[in-house]
Amino acid sequence: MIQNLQYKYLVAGLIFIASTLLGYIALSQYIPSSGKVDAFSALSSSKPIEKEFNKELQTRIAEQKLAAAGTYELQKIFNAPDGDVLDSKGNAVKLSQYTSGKYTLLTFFYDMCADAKGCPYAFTTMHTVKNYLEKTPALSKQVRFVNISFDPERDTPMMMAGLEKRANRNNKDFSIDWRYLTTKNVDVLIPLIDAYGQNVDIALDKDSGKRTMEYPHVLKIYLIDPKGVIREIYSTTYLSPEMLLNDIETLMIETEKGV
Amino acid sequence: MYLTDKFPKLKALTKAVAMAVVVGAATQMPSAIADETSCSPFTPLVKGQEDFVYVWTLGVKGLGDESDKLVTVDANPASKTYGKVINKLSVGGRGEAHHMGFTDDRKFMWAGALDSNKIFIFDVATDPSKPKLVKTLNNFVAKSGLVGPHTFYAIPGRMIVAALSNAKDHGGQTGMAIYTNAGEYVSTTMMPTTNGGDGFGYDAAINPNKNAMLTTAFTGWNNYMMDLGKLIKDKDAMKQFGNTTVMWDYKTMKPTKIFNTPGAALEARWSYAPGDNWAVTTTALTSEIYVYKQDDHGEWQQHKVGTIGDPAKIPLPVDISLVSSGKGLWINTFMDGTARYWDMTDPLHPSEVYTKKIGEQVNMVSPSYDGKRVYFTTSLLSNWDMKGKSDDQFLKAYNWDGKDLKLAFEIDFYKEKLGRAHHMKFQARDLKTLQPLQASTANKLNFASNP
Repeated sequence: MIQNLQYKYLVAGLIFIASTLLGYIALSQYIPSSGKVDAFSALSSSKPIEKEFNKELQTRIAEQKLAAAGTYELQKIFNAPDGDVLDSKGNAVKLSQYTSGKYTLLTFFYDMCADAKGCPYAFTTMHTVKNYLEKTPALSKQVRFVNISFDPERDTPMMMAGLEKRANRNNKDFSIDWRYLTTKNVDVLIPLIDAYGQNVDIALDKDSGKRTMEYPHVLKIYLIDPKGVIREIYSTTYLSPEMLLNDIETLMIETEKGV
Repeated sequence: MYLTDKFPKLKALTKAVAMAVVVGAATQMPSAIADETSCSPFTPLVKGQEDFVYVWTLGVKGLGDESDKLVTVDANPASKTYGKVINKLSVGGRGEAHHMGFTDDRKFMWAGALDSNKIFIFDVATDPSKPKLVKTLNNFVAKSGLVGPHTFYAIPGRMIVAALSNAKDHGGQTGMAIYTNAGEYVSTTMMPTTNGGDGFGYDAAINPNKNAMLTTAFTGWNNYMMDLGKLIKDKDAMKQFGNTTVMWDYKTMKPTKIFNTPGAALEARWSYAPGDNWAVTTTALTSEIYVYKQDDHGEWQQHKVGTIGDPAKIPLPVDISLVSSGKGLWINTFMDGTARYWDMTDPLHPSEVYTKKIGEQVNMVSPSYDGKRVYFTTSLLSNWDMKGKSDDQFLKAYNWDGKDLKLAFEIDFYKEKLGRAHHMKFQARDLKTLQPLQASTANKLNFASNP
């Protein structure tokens, strides 16, 4: 019996390690290597190419029939809720320190998420936004990304540290501040996701009725202005890097105008 | 092109992102491809067998508890209670119950009352067989200045509430309010009254892929609460119907084009079939079908594509519902109680291919995702429904084989002392394999804690 249990734990552990490695390999293809960031660094000082980038972006925005940035107003939906979270060093901090002072894209996720229209899709979209913004250091410094796990059991601060390191690899002065946060436990998490309106289910094994590692959820990304007000909510059905960039720029123009 | 050629890794990233977008778009298709009782494309759809049909039912004086209520019907043929009412949840009082809409996560359902202006929010996830009323919004008029909360259309984290009227004169000038899913008021957008707009409103439907929203126009409280017989004889009142439809930039909530659409266009439906770029509506008073399609320059154009029945007899087209492929459209005509199926293979040249009399009167139609089951209900408005023996009030479920509707079950809402059967929504949720995190109190002990 004990041997069986040990065997099960060993298999489960191996599966966990293998899936983590596979996940890393799968995601690492989307992550810029150091050479690429250097190239971007060169690009950011090269105005003609910067213009080319902008032209490419504007073309994509036009293709999506999006109104020009600054010509529309984003609703003030609700104040970004506060809560207790753990940073990647395990420090207990208030979420509010990551939801004000910058233009913030915040999303809930879990590292084991394998739903192509869920967390991985959010990650690639946000990474594209990051790559665009980092062409213009003055812009990228004003933007922050926040990922909060709704799987505190597996997504420990140590795990968050690994993800954060990966996301912020080759950080330069102009890089976007990308934070990975978790919570002490599910009791702390629930009020937070409830406040954000981010419902999530636990998938149960149909035979045993026990929890699986899946947390089915409708993907949401929240755009929060520097005052800590949620100004847009995106979901899989309505999400593109161009839309995010356009909305961030709209908020920046709003700030410039002193609205 | 220049950049990706120069920097291969950027090219790889672009490809990877493009692939992810395609995968995302492809995997989201099931939630954006089908009509399934005309849900918002932001809401997950029931793609298999629906377990329950919810019927938002108008209370009738002297019948049962006389209150508006949410009736739950077992719609799963494998169930022992198939075709039976398994739950009824009264909201207390009569307020002209009308339409419903799920939130973007399909866990809550909002239901409105056109006279009391109350909005009821039901939890339909914790136990879908027994919806629970979790919140009642009483501030719709005070917050928005609007009257008659009609359409409940989910967008990410929020609900668009398209209204029929306004608090100043109870006429047809109206707009759309937006609430958070938690029921907090956010903003109001009025229907346009310039550049050809008449300010009337009714339904709203969004095509996220086109960043487009189509709205239609009906009439104000003064008319929709008036007895239909009296209304028809009132020439001035009959002038107070909407004659426009509006295409909007959904993102900015600004009108992009206003169309002249005489005769009160009602339900707005998009075809979400891959590659399609059109929407459809029908006009209540003129019995016409209008299709909205982008031209070669990407500009939205309105096309009058068909006539329903004999307009001289005012068959009164009411609810319409596209099948998931976009190749068929159910149209109900209220006055003759007839369901009509139109072939929409060529949306600009559709044709009626099937008709069936459902009852003395028929209003709403809801096909399942696979189109094999079609449900009908009867009530239009409490003061517009037929009188006496013609006042059929039922839910009828049919099986559809592509050629004929065959009755599966029916529930007489008067015999069951329920009331007038109006809007329907489906639900399916296997609680044995899916539990809300919030409902896992017992399981919390099983979760480890971070230090």
